[in-house]
Amino acid sequence: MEMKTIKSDGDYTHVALSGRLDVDGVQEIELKFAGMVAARGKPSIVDLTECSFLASMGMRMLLSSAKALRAKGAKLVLYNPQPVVLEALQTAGFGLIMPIELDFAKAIGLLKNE
Amino acid sequence: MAGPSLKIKMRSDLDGLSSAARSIEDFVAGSGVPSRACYIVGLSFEELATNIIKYGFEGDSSSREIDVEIAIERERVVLTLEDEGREFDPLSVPEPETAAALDDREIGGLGLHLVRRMAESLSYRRDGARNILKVSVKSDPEEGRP
Repeated sequence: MEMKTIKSDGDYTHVALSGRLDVDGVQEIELKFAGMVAARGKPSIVDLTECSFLASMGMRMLLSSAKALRAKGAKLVLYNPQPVVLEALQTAGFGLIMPIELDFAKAIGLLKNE
Repeated sequence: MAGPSLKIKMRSDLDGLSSAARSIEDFVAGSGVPSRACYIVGLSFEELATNIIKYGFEGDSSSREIDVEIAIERERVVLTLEDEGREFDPLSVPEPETAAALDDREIGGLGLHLVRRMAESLSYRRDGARNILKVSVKSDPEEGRP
């Protein structure tokens, strides 16, 4: 599991997750992820294009940061999950609690619509 | 005729889990199972085995073992997990509130829900001192195509 920071400026945070976000994957990146996303407190886009596997531990990590951002008045947007990852997110009801967007420009637009 | 199968005796801790997860992923993908079914088999294994490791045994669970079997059939993959932990039927757990708003959403409880919804079936039986969980995952190659 790898996490890349694409952008972390005054406006928003953009991170990309690649590999398996399973129990091991979460242990590898959760501190770094929480530090970059929840602790910075900026609206955040989490790019799931290269995330091949997402289990409930990974969903908990995303939910926990989304809640922390919400408390600071900022949004977390999930961008471009693979079809089966999207299916798992929808099954867990994530579509109702955080935006999941397949179009990058729209994802960025959602971050600014606070 | 029975298809290929894989049997693993895994240690009931997180190291055992990750090593078994890698073997399962390699075996299922290497047997030509479509990617959606591979994902659901991996997800079901991780969620159910994590539950057993966390809650199945009194005290340190790492001295205990979980028997895992993956059987690849013509139109489905069947995952079986057996342990000698305390009696626990995951089907008795109420479904979490997945329609709750973000602020009301509890962190957790999602794993079993995902397995119950994404797998074709999940069954549980207690046989003597053993818990036997069986998950069936459809692996129709046409599934998921537009």
